Amino acid sequence: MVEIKQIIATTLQIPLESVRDDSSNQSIPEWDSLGHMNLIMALEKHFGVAFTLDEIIELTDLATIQRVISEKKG
Amino acid sequence: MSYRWAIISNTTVSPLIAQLRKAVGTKQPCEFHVAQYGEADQQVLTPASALYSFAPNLIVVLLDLQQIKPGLETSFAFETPDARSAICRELVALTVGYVKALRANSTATLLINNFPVPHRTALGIGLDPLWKNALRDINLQIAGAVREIPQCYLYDLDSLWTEAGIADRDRRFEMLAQFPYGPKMQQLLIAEWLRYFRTLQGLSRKCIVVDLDNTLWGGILGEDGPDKLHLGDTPEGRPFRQLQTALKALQRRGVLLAIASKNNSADALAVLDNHPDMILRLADFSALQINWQDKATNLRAILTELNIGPQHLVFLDDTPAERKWVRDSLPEVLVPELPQDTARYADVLTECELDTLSLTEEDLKRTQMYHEDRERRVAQVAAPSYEDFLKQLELQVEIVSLPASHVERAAQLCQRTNQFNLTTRRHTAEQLTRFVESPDSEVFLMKVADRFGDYGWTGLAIAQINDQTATIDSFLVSCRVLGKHVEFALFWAITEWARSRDCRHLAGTFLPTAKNSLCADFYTKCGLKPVGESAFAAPVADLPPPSIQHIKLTVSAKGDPLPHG
Repeated sequence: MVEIKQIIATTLQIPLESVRDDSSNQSIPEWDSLGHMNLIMALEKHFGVAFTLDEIIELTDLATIQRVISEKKG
Repeated sequence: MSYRWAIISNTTVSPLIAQLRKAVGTKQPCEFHVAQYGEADQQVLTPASALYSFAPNLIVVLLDLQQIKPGLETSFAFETPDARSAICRELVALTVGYVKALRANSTATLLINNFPVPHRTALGIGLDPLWKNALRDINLQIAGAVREIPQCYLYDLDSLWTEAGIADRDRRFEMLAQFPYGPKMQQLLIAEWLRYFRTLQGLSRKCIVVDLDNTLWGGILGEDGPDKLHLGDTPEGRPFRQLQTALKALQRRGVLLAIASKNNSADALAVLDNHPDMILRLADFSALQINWQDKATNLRAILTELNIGPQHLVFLDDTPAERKWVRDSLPEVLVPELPQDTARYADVLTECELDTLSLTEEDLKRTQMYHEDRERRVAQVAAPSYEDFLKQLELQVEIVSLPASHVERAAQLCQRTNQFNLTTRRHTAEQLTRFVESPDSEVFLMKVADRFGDYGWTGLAIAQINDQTATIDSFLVSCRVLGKHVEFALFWAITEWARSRDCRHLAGTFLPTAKNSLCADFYTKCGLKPVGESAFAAPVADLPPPSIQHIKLTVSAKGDPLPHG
């Protein structure tokens, strides 16, 4: 979770404290459509995974990102 | 002074910009302006837009056909032949119109993409050629039109996609945000833009230093002897023939070649002179260091002999330890990894930062000019004093008002000259043309020759008149002609011009860079007085004629025919 928070903070250029367990694209204004694309690329690079189009559309909050990545990493 | 990039696209480009920033690094400060999607058209077509007020040095255009005319890939084949021609004409006109709008509103260098030809479409092999060949034709027509637009270049997006491969097309981001560039393509695209950036900034490498044993030829001369070297048209010899052929082509294009090898000099020279299978010959090399000294020492000697900096050098050597030693000792030298497999040697040359944007007369004669330099050095050693040597040179200097035919060479001088360059303003061909066309400014181009040969066009100055003061915008002299006082002839031509235009004062600026300390006191030597930070000026009437009696000087004004060619 900490890793994901760090990636979100770095990619969206926001303070780490502002990323909470229940954060989503609704609660973080910097998490717009471009931010989303950059975030997905950063997550894929960091965790060595590839998301499908449906997953990318769904990955708009921290909890889901956490769940999908742990599923993929097995 | 930071370099200003504008990136214009009818699709998403932001993710590329972050990477571009990273790739440019901190070595050269850059600023970026991005216009994407709908913003692009608006900013390109409006003269007062944010794009033009940003005053970019370089405008990179990335146009996606899908955004201009969606669905052509599958609909084109069903159009009538007339409709197909009309579609092609329209696409060419749209793209060329875009570039022309940019040209009309900006002096920046323009980079525009061609359109990628798809590998296949759903229609299959029978119908695919209709659209694929139409696209190839569109690309050729755009390339032809772009060649006619000054300071505008077409980069080959189609080839980049071929290199990245269809698997790198990111369908997800294409569908989410019209961003089809996968990691490989992003890297290739940025690398391609940086090639232009480097070349425009005069950062291209000028000289390749090669090792001999197992680099220029197969085998070890000292152990195998000249007859056993792999150089012939055999599987073992072909990699070296291919490398030599490529090096020869680069040499013809103006890249200098030099040798740094641990060998007995006489044995190596005999191979270079006489070996029947050598493609490169002794005369193709501008500097030779064949001895038992370490390679970094030899490279430094080559730099001194050719009067270039380590940032201009590429070093090819098959021995990892030699590469490491040179990298550690001279970090600015580009030392590519030579592959284990000799078959891939020549491929390395495409990644050696040797690009050039145009080919000038000077490029074609460069090696010859360096040989003439060597003869001059011999004469200098033989002369009783430096003054005597200068007199013996029989120097001839021609200074002309920049003619349209020489604008490319003048722009190249602006891009490449680093040491004797008072302001280091990297004027483009387009900007130089504007100076030429303005009634209140003059661009002086200087040609130097002596009894050993022709140095070609090697000096440039720009002066502008404002309120009876002529101000020197740029003053630069190629380092190959320094030490002969020709720079004073160029300055004198400006003085005389200022006088003829009834100027009272002549002024100039020295803008220090990491490389131009050489000319810090030039304006003082010419008789200008410091009048503030980096500014110099003096009344025109006070400027003394320079002591250049050893130079035969010809100056022609605007509109005069060129003295020779």
